[in-house]
Amino acid sequence: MSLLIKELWDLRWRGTILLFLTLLTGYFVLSNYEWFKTVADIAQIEQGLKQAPFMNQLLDMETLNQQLLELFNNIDFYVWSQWFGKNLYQLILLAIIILTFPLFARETEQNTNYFLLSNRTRKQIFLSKILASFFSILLIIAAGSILPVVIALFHDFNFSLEQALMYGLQLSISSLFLYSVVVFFSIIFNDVIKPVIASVIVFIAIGLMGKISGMLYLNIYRYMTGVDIFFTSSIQTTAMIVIFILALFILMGSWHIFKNKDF
Amino acid sequence: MHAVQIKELCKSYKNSSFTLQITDLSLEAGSVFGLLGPNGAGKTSLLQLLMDIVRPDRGYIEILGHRPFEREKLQAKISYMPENKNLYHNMTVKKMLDYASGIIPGWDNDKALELKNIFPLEGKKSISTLSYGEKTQFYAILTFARSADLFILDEPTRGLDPIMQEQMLQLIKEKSWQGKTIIFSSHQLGEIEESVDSFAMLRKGHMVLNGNLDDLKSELFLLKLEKSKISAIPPSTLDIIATHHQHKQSLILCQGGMEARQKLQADFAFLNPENVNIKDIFLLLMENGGEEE
Repeated sequence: MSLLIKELWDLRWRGTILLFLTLLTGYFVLSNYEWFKTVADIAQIEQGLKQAPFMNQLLDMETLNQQLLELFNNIDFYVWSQWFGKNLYQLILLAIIILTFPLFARETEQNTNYFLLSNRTRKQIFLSKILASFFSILLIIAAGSILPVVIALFHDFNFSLEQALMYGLQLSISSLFLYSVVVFFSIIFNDVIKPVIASVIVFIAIGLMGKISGMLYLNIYRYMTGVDIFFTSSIQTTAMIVIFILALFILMGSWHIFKNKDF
Repeated sequence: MHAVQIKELCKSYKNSSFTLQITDLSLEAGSVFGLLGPNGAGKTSLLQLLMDIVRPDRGYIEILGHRPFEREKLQAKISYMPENKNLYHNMTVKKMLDYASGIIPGWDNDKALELKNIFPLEGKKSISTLSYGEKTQFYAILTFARSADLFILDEPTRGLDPIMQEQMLQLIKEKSWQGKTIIFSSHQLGEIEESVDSFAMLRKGHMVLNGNLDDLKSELFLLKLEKSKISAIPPSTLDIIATHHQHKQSLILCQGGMEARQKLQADFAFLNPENVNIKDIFLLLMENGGEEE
């Protein structure tokens, strides 16, 4: 068993459960579109829109109702809002934390790093852990992104493979950034609890920062929901490049700390 | 040829007042070197520095012709048994052996089987259920079932019963006969005396004694005399390394060869220089403080 296989073996239960959870949730959300339409209370939504004066200023009530009905009958809107924009990215956030927090911290906490460090170089250890864990996250992202296309084959609707791939790419890059943050915490802390707490705090802080007016571009979750792809049919290229560079920068910093760390 | 060379080494730790300082230490290739010292003396730190598990603040370390951080060149040449012998709790003995065979350089399956007969452990047993002694036995398999030029063993007999201790010492001797260099730390003074060619004693991060065991034994001697008689010996007469007073008696560890001993006896008839063993040296140096580098 090689170092990489062992890392994947370590992740096998957590990875399988998360993948199964993603597929199961996706299946229930995506295959129940017709049911969703029957339970959505259009009349109540219309009433709510009437009470939103800013909406009435933009569009008259009749146009608003018409567009609302169009959206409800648009499977794309349903997939983007209910699957990509709600359930999937939250599951990926969970997966990033669960698959990454013990990566280095558990070896330090249980003193098993002496075995690794005496038989392999720090570079081999770092790379195998990073590759195995991010591969597992990518696998879940790929499954979740392609799922609407696959489920569409068995139901009476279509979903663009191109859009699914675009979303998958944007979600992967955004996830790489959050993943690099958890890797960093897993390296600097010597127990498995602190990386979880620190990661949750940072994840919440990133969300809060993005809510501040003028700082929307900092809200990584916006990219993870894929809302821009839904409206513009294109990836946020500049933001993705910046996020990718930031993620690499954090990973390089983590490697530097790991390379020089006393165990 | 030196297997290990250390010069002006210094290592301190955050949130700790402990500092390891080794001015000069060389180990001959093919020798068995023992590292002695009380808990917290710096034995594990020194071995971890050799393994690049911790990094020095300053100083020079050369191991088998390379610096410790050149792990790629060293990983096939050094076998290490750490003080903390924890392994993966989610694995069974069999699974761990399978994993070890994949990542330990120079793994020898036949040797592993041979060692499993010496240290019998059930393959289905979970690592988490192994006692400390069993973990040490298991680590012995991982450490010796591979080819290496240097074996670094941190307390290899700790937790073992006398039979297993003997097996472990036998393995160390076998490797020594094969011309391998062995460094091991221990609190068992008897096994150090039995196995090593040379040794060093550490106390509070400093090396208080270092040298070839036989040379040190012939160069050092012990005086036991009544406290009241100490004043009868002019201080310049003795090259004292350490003294220890207990009740009415004083123990004095002195440096000097056979000639010095004979002269001392001729000058002071009441003195009877005795040969020393590692235990005498250890107790005197550690209890009394001894002379530091």
